[in-house]
Amino acid sequence: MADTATIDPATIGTGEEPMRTVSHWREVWDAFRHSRIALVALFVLVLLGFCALFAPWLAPFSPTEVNVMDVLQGPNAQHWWGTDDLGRDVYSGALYGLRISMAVGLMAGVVAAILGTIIGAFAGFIGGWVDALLMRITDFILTIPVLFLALVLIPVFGSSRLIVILVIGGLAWPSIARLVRAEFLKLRSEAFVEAARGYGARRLKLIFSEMLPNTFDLVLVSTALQVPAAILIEAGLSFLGVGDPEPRSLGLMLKDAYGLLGLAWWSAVLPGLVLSALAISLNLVADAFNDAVRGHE
Amino acid sequence: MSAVPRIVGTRLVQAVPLLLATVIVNFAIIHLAPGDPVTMMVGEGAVSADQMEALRLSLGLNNPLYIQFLDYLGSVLKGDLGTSYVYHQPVSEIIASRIPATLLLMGSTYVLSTVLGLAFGIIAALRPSSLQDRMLMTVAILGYSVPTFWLGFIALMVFAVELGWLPISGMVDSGLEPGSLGYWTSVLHHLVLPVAVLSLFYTGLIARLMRTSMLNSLRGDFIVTARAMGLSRWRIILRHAVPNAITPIVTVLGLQIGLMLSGAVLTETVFGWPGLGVLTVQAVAQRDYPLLLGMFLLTSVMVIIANVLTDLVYLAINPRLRGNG
Repeated sequence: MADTATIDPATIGTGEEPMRTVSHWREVWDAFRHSRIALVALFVLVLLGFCALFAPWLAPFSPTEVNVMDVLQGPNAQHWWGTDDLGRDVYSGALYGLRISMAVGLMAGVVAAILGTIIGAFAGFIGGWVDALLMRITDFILTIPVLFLALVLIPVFGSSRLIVILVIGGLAWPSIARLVRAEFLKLRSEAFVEAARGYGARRLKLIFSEMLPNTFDLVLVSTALQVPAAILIEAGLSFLGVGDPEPRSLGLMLKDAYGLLGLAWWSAVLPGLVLSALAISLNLVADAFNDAVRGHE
Repeated sequence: MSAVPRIVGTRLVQAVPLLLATVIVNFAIIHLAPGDPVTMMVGEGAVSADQMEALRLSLGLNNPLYIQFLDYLGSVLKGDLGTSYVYHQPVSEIIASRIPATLLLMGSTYVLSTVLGLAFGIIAALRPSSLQDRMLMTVAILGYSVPTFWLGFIALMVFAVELGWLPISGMVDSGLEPGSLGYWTSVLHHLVLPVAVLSLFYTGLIARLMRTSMLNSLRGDFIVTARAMGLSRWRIILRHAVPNAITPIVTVLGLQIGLMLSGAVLTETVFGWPGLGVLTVQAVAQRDYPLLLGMFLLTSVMVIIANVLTDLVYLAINPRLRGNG
């Protein structure tokens, strides 16, 4: 791990412990910058993020507007990416779909990060049977086919965006928890934590102000690795008819296009390319970020 | 191999609370699920209120919750998973009839992607940061980033609809005698596209893991020793580095067995493959809870089997764990 911070005994207990500082993030960025493909992916990701953020201004049509006069048109000057069997504009639909994919993926990531951090922190900090039990649960959830379970659970809980986010995020935390736990086990014996404990710091203060800040970058990285998976799961669920309830998302557009198999290639190929570009760029960026933080081989 | 029965035994004992938890969750879901089970079974307004009440009584739905739970637990232990709302057949029979199709699809994918993934991972690790490494790893990331269901139907559009080389849907052409050569040729023909698409995903995942593991292995002291002993490059790689690299990823490979159900759901749906995945999607669409819960139980059983198998393989290839149990 790129634990470059050193401990100056004089600073212990004065709030100047070796937090991962600005210079730490500089180093991470320098390592990240080394990978040309990661930079390209970052550019694509920022571009997609921009499109998602400004979809209402960028989209020439409403994503859901049905237009019986313009059914199944190929790409043309008016409808850049063509229209589907209901005359809905594919380009506008993809822009709004991108918004849903990113929102659901990020929120699921946040849910996973919160759960993973709390569970991993307690397992690593308390240890003993609490740790053993929490890690057994973690390992078990790690082996659950998420999409499959979500498919079964979502109809039971009812399909709303919150439920979709909670179910996906609620099953994505184990790898984060394991990482936080491992880091906590290591930190527990580090000098500055020992010092704070000797100083009489309370348990919760120890966790929140000494240990958690030092796991922040690892949590960020492992969460970033979960987001593309969450996005693909949401799209898959929409494709199966139980995803985000919004009437037009990338997964739903692909479901509709699947019904038109071979009739309108643009309605299948283009939204799928957007979804793929999002997942690929996220994976590449998360990967390079991961290498940068952990110190690449 | 005295450790084998002990480890299998431990795993099976550990599986008991896991299965019990699944059954409890299952039971909870039945009671949380919207809609009255009796209404679900007979259909809205099909019978009178008196008949409904009689049915509730005969199903034990008026008993206290814990009695209902014990009843449910008892029938699960007997292999009775209830009756499907839609098919009006025992859930266990419906599920059993779909297992071979999914097993064929997933088994082929699993074997193919394991072999390819390991090979690509090894090749990439031999020359880190070389062109071949970077190309293989970029393809691997593409493999698990591109949504399989989308790639699946793009492949369908190209190879089945446009070119007409491969069948569009299903597992076998109709009218062929089961077991005949023509039957199996047809199955093989139907198998090509779904296996190819799904394998791309798993090959990518496995290749990445294998590369990392292989890089670690190649850095080991025993490699330096082997080199100092003057062993040939390929002997070092195949006899020393690869076995050491495979050991840590066996766990991941084993656990993948359970996770493949997710892949099955999407791939079977796209290719109309008559397996468990399609069955589940239909059960969701029709809110067929007994069938869904049967699938849920099957999933946990699969996860447990995968865990035990993983331990066994791990034991077989890692002699350090053998012997003095």
